[in-house]
Amino acid sequence: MKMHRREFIESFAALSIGSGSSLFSLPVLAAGTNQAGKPGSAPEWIYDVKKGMHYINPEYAVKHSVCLQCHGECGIRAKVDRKSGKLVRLVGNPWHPNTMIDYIDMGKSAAETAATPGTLCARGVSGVQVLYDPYRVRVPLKRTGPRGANTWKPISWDQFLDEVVEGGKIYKDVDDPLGKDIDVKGFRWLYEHRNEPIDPKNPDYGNVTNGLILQGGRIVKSRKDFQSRFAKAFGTVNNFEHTNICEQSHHIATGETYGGKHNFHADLPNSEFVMFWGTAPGEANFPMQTLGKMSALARTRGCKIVVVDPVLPVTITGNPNMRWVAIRPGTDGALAMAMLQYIIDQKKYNRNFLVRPNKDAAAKAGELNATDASWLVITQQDHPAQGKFLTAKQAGLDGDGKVVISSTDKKPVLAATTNEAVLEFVGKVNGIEVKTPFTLLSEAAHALTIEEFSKICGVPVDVIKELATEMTSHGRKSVAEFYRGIAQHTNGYYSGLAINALNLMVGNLNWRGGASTGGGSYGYAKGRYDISAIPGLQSSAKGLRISREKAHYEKSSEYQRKANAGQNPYPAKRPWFPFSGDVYSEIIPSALEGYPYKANIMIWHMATPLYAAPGQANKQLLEGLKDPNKIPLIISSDIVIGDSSLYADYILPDITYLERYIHVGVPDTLMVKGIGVRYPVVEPLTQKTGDGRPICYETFLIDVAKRLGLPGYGEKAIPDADGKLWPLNNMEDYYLKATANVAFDGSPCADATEDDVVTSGLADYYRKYKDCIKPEEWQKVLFILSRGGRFEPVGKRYDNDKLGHQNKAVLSLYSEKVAQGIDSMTGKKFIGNAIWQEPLSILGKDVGKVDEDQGMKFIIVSQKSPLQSHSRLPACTIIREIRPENAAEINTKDGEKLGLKTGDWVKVRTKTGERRCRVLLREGVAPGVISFIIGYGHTGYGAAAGQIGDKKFDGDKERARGVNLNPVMRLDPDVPMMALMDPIGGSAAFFDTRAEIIKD
Amino acid sequence: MASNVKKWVMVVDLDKCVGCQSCTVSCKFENPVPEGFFRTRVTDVEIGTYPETRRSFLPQLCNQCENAPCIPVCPVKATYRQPEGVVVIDPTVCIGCGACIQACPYGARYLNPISKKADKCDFCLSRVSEFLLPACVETCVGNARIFGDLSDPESDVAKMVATRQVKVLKPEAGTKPQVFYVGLSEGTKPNAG
Repeated sequence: MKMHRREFIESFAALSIGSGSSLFSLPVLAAGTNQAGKPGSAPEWIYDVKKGMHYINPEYAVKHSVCLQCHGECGIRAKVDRKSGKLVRLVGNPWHPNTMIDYIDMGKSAAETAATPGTLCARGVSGVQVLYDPYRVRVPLKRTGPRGANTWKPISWDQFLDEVVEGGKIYKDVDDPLGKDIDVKGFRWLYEHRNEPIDPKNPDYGNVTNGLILQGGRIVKSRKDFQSRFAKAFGTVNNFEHTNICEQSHHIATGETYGGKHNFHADLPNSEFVMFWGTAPGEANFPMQTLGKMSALARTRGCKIVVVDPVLPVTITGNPNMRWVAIRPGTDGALAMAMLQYIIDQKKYNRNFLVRPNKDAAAKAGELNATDASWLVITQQDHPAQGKFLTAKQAGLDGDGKVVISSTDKKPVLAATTNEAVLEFVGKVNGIEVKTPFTLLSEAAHALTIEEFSKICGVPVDVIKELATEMTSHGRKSVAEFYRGIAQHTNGYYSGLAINALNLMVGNLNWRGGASTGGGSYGYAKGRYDISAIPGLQSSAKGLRISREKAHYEKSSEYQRKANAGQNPYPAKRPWFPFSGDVYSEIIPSALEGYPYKANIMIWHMATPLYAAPGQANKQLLEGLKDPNKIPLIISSDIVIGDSSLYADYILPDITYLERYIHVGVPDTLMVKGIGVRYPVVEPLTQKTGDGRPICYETFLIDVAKRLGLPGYGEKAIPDADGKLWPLNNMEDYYLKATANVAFDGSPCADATEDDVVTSGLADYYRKYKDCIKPEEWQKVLFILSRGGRFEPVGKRYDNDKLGHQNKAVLSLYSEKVAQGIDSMTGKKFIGNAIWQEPLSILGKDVGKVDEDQGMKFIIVSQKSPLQSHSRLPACTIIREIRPENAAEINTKDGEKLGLKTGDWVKVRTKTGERRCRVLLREGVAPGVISFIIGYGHTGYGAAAGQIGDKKFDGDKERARGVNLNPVMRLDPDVPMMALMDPIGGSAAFFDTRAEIIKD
Repeated sequence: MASNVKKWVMVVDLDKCVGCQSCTVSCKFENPVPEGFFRTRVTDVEIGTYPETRRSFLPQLCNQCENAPCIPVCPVKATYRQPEGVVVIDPTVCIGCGACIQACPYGARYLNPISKKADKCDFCLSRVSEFLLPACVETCVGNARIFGDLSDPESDVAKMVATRQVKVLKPEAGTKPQVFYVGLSEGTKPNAG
């Protein structure tokens, strides 16, 4: 059949259908075409009719590894041609819990699962095209013109290392008037000055080595640890992943409620009512496909599913159990607060659960967790401990710990020894004004009437009451979970906390049909070897991260200096984020402004801040990046010349997820214990170093470390359990030891059979790397590799009416820690409980209102599609055939008012800039909202014309198609180049930008 | 007891389709389908007006009709039903005249611009003959596509056809499709082939 795209974009049909990339190849780029594996090849399994079983087709190996087309990191089964070594096709690994709800026991052989492979989503299946992308970079590149010009020359590995390690006038051969003569401080200079402060006036900022910034994008677990090892050995605290442009406020709020656990998910296979806020199963969150299959199962067995989101997701089908609640972006906290008000007023909350102030009391009452709902908080404004929990000592009681009001005699008593406490209390204890967290929450939930909350969020009063009633009408089996759509607002933390409070009204955690904070993982860092140890390290990694995170401004020498000089220390020059980490969007702007200090060397690894961070590609920032005097050395570790890599000085060619390693616990969504183990399913395509290692991020870090003589690299690097030191000269030296740790964690896993080794073609791999671990470890390591990880049996998921893996934490409505924090910009204290707050700028300005008054009536939201993952799928032409282009999606009536029809060209204009794109009129977008699918509108990643050596190449127009509105998102009015930010959760806001639409 | 001759059919449970398009894409990695063409696809439409809006998906592929209009129109008998019920095209015989493409009421066939032959879904017969699942079925995230032998009363497909209300696309065309849908309503039907 010929192409028929989604009906609602049929007027796009006049556009050419994804005509594929310009299949050029340069010697420095990957050879060949962007081939889709080898369609039409013979099946990888052959059926023996007599024996009634499958065996492997000898032409192919079937390897098991881990996907990375999104952060779901599903298990993959790779069909690899043995002769050519080429990847042919990808399906799901049925041992991995992401790929089947009732996944296969590890005891079964691969052949036994031939007719029951797991599933993979469209993106996962398309990974073959990422591997064989003709735009892949295979050798190191150095720019020959100004940053951003996309003109390069290939250089050798040694030249690359020489220049970046030794520094000096390394741009003297570059045609760039701005930076030709600068004297660049390389890795060696920084390391040699590792014991000197980066800013003598502010010793708390740490040492010179903090001038190296490792800005990782998608880097987690054992790969992140590999990066961290270098950071520690070198002596920089600037060791990042990307979380603040992902979902950081979700992590922070969830951690505060659930005893430090960062993910909280419904037991969809057994729940009766689940609300998804700012996320939709089968579309967003991770693992996307598993949430999709769980929600499909759930709706068909009668579970009611609500998605609260301004955009109609794929989840909401015609099934009457599915319900879409369209909400005004940024007002989810108002909806949650209104629901809480109704639940509290109608006494619909689970009282038996909330009144238990300690674990014993909870257990006696048949509850699985205690809560802080009744613990008294000092609310007296002039009390030095205002905001903290009242202590026994302060209450004049004997003993230690928190204090509650006994529900029997209404007197203050120790929380630790009381079976039942008063939930609502306002009064004085020992002369100190106190309230319970439940009361604080209730007061916040009554700050406005339900009608007023309804007006703010656009959800009708009767719908609010219905949702609140449903939420509290299914025993433990109702859950509210949230994700990015809530988190990435400036009020993300508080709104998230309010949604968490809804769950505490139910008491659903740890129950079958309730919710889980995850089943855990097998350990990879320690056991047979301690891969986290760095023998001989005298670390100079200390001080303040450039993003000013996990640090209190009030404790800084900068603050003290200002205070001592009688100056008002507020606002700080740029905000500090005492409760957040990985504040990725603040790395480049801070480095350019030189606050708190300047950066010498910046490395982007699998990172594209200019594409992915809101407002990051603003004019001021781009101008700053183009000037090498500001950040003298930028290295981008990338598989292609990505949208951000265009601005790097050097491209360090990286390997794709199909050529590399990781150890990554299965997503908490699965509620089981397991770990995916990734290893190369094909020989890496990048150039090899002189000694035969593939050029990639790990090889780079190892070689720089060895040149500098950093501890923890080279011959005596990794201690085993007996203290013997093992080498670290290639990445297998590290990752295989991690795999050995996984294999031997707890009771060791089974041994691989000969059939396992043959089927997965691991014999050559074993021969090549046999010295990386001990001989007696190999059979178990091969077992793990042959299965793509280690996963407990699916039967461990449940324990009768409870979940198999329990989170024993005391659950919190109140964060004493946050309540003690002071906003570095306003000087005001943060609040410990959930509140409703409009999205505001860092100094508390309602910039939305300001922009709206200037005619920007729409709010931009980005949308996740099951067919796109952030920036990383331009090479997947088969996916682009289904949807070659995105658009500014708006409500039909909004479009008609503007005289627009689907397919018209418009300009979307914000305070930061404008982008030209097509418009798509939908009934599935809330009025006043512009939604765009993230993943389109590339300026790099093969989209831009350029030159390598004397070869010019064209950009692939298909990769440039569509629009990316991230770069024009709203910046904070008072802090240069900074996105709108959540001061507590640390998230950069993606959904608080006002825009106007102008017919083009 | 299953009869000796199998009868391959597919049942699509529309309530379980999550609209992820993994089937659409997986098919193209398994089968040599040129750019811009598909052996299977999933239409994704919005139904209803705001805020009562919903998504509706309809996976479509060759219906392997028992009374296939594509077979009699072929002037060279390149297209035929193989013994297990799958309508196949012999590319060595096909002359690429396009008569079958015109005759199909479902738009399931296309002229391959590279081979100049008619082409369409064959239930991944090369996989099925090794007792493996068609590519679209093995990767179906929602478990919406069920494949099997209708002549075996113990098979999932036979049970579904027996116990669920199944419908076919365009029954009025009299083609007797062997792809059955559970949950097919007016709102989910395609406008045209």
